[in-house]
Amino acid sequence: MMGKNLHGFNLFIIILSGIAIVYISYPLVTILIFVEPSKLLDSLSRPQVGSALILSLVSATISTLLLSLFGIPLSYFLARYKNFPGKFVLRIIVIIPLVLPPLASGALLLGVFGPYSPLVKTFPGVEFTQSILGIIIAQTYVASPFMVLSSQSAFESVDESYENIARVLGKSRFETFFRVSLPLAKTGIVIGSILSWVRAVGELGATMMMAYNPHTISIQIFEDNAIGGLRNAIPDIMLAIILSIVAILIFYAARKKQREHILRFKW
Amino acid sequence: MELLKQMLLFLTNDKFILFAAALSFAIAFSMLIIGGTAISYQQQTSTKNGKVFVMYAASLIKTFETSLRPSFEQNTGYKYTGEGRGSVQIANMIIDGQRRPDVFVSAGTIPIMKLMMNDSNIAADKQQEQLHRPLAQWLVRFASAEMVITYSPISRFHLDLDKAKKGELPWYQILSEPGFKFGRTDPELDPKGYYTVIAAKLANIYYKDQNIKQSILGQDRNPKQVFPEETLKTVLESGQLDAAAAYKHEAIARGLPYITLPSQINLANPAFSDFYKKASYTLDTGETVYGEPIYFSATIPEITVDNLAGAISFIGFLLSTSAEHILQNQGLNYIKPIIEGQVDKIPFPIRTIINEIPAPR
Amino acid sequence: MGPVSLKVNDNEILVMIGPTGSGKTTVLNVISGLVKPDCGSIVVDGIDITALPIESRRIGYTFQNPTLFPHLNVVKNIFFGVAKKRSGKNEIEVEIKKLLDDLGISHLTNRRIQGLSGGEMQKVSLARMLVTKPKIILMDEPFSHLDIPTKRKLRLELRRVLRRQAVPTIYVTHFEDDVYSLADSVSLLQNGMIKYTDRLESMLIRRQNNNPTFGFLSNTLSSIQGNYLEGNVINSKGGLTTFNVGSHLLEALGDYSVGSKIGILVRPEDIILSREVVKTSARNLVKAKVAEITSYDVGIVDVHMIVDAFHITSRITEEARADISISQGDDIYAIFKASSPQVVREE
Repeated sequence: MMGKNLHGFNLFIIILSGIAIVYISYPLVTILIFVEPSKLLDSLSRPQVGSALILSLVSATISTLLLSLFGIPLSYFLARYKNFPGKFVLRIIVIIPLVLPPLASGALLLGVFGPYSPLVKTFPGVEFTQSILGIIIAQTYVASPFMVLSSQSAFESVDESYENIARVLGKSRFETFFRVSLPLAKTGIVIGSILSWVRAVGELGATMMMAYNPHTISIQIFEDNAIGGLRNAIPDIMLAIILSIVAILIFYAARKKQREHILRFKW
Repeated sequence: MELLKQMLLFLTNDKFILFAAALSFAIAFSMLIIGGTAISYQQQTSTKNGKVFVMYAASLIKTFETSLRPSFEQNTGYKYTGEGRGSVQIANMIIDGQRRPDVFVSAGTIPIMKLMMNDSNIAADKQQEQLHRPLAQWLVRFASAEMVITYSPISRFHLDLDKAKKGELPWYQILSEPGFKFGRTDPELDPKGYYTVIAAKLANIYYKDQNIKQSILGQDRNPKQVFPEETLKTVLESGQLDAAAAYKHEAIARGLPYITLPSQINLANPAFSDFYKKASYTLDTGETVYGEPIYFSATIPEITVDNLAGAISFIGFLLSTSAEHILQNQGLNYIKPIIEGQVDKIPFPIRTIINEIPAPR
Repeated sequence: MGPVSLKVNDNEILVMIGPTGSGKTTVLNVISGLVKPDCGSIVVDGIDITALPIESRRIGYTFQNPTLFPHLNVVKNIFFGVAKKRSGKNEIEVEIKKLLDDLGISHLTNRRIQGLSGGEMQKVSLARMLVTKPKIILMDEPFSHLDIPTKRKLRLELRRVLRRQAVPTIYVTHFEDDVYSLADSVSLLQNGMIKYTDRLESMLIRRQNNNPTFGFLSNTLSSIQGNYLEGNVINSKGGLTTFNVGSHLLEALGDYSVGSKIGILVRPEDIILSREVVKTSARNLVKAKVAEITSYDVGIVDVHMIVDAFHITSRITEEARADISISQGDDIYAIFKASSPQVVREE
């Protein structure tokens, strides 16, 4: 009787999962339809593609580093300081870049960093838009919730008694943060970083507003599509997919490590 | 072995890691500031190796990015940076202060005229001596375009459309069939969008049938038909649309079949200018656009130009024979450049070039 | 909660006892600085530390949960609170090695903490705390998660280790037998207030005199009630130890060094009464005089007796009492097996 029930349940799960998998992977079949293998190498060896890819990778990395520097302390604050007036507002603010359509974020950022803004007046030499700096600004804004929310969750899962005992043992708040809180939250933060990085690389809408040039790989795909349709954009798209696969592998490796981490920490 | 162990112990020592992390952050951050500044300074250095930022009508994207750009860079030594968008959108971005291009190439003359009439109030705060100066003061028309109906070879109507292409069937009848999916761009953002509406209205007059426009297009901004410039052709190619309104040069660039429209409605023939004027479209901002031959025009927006020499060089190139060949190959009709606006504000080198160009061959 | 007023001397252990929820942990948290008091002061070694941040207070505090750092191995945990100094390194190392040997955890140094048993974890936690040379030690129910045999064994060692540190210790628990095992002085905490404080000896004397306060103490606790006796070991061989309590020779199981003082607990339920001297398998028989008989529960009575200078209680059914007609003032014999006494203290 029990065996029969399990069988029905298994089937249920498998069917629904199967539909989900097909749904996600079917668009990739389009690539196979549209790809022109003879032109593939030619298209990929265009200098724009290479520089767009490198630009995306580098800017995403810098963006992620910046997000770590500023986002991790913020997430610690959100995780630990519970009795803060206006805490609710803060939590909403942190999610805004996630909720806003990227084009809207880009337009708003343009208001802050655009050619006629007070900020630009203060720093006359610096090109905030249509430059690598513009790309980084767009990416950082859009990817910030990933870093902050993941890290916040990671810190929240660190029992405060670890921090307490560290302080009792004589460590200052700074030492406790770096020697206890951060190492224990490490895997969650790393996952947050990976997600931020991936989001930054895939970013298009805000980047289009802040820095259409120089082209990131996402914009290169966009432009190649505008020029010659899907056929023209396929090589870039394939490149982006390979990049995604690599990022996903790293993500799963980190998540696996986190699960082991958690299992070991249960008393 | 012991030494190795000591070294490893040192490297994994918390204090060392802390120090290393702090150091790398500091480096990354300062690189950012230095890099940002350096890039900007580079952009302001000598014009010979400077960059020219061109914003242009999106329908020209293939022409500009794949053909014009390498040719321009080779011939002049300037570095080209381009961004293609709907012309009305470009004008709006300049007015809102979101972009500062060196050159603005527009489909039709109206977007540039919008800049010419604008009081540049955003620039007013920043540059006191530029109060109440318009964003642009002149334009030069350098090529003309033609409206066509381009269609997808895999559409279920493609046999009928092939016949219409050969003139065997009235195109507007096929477009009016129930279930026919037609696509075009937004008349509020894109000149091609309002030219489509105007052409349809002209069709009413030309074919003496008041229903044509309504049955092909529906309302002016019909959400079922309107697509952003960037995605329109992709959507067409994928078979989601049966046909779309486009410029002839776009259809050629994409290798898509197209139906030629009568000269009275394709907005390509200056001889029919008066007829074209019979139809119009009123934008949300209140301006009314009247039918006219579609000219591609260019200007150097006075207030926003950064690299004047580079901009002049680009327009000069645009008017040259090399560019002429490229444009004609892509399906644009070359015309003798015509100036509009304040002629005396046109940079001298450009005026010279225009005067030296003979009538069309 | 409060007000709470405590005083602990150097080299002494104060056991703070009270039911769950009485605020025992809170008191420790205030002393350590984890919780800010509304008013009052904390003075350690003559220095007022009330305004000091937690890390500067030089307080050792072990939580109920060992809270060992999961990302560090045993030795890194133990050395966590120690600032690494170049000079005197060797001396510190020798000292620490001795401490680890003492606690019996030297073999664990490079192990990951995830593989340790509950008892081992508590020992590491203890070592980690002791290594920082605190000025005062706070312990919050360190053995509550352990099984009874482990707990009893560890508890014996603990007093030895703590005494060697020679700093004041506050040990919080809800088990009465911890009092007998570890205390030099006792405080009862109830509903956030100290109801009673005394030295252990005085408390025992009061108990002998049937002080109602002490009865109150016993009744509020969730543990077994016990008869606590102290004596010196005369002989110990083959797992059987003979010790003298007053003029009586008693026997208990275990091996202890001759001449050392041991404290034992015997449960009232384990004491059998007889009107005459009988030869039984039980090793312990003492003559006693019935001082009082009180009711414990429905059909169960406590027979309080005096043996020389000390006081023991036997718990029997009312029926049994009536059967052999025990009443106040009677002479009676108390009998219990050698396996009944639990040795809770050894020094």
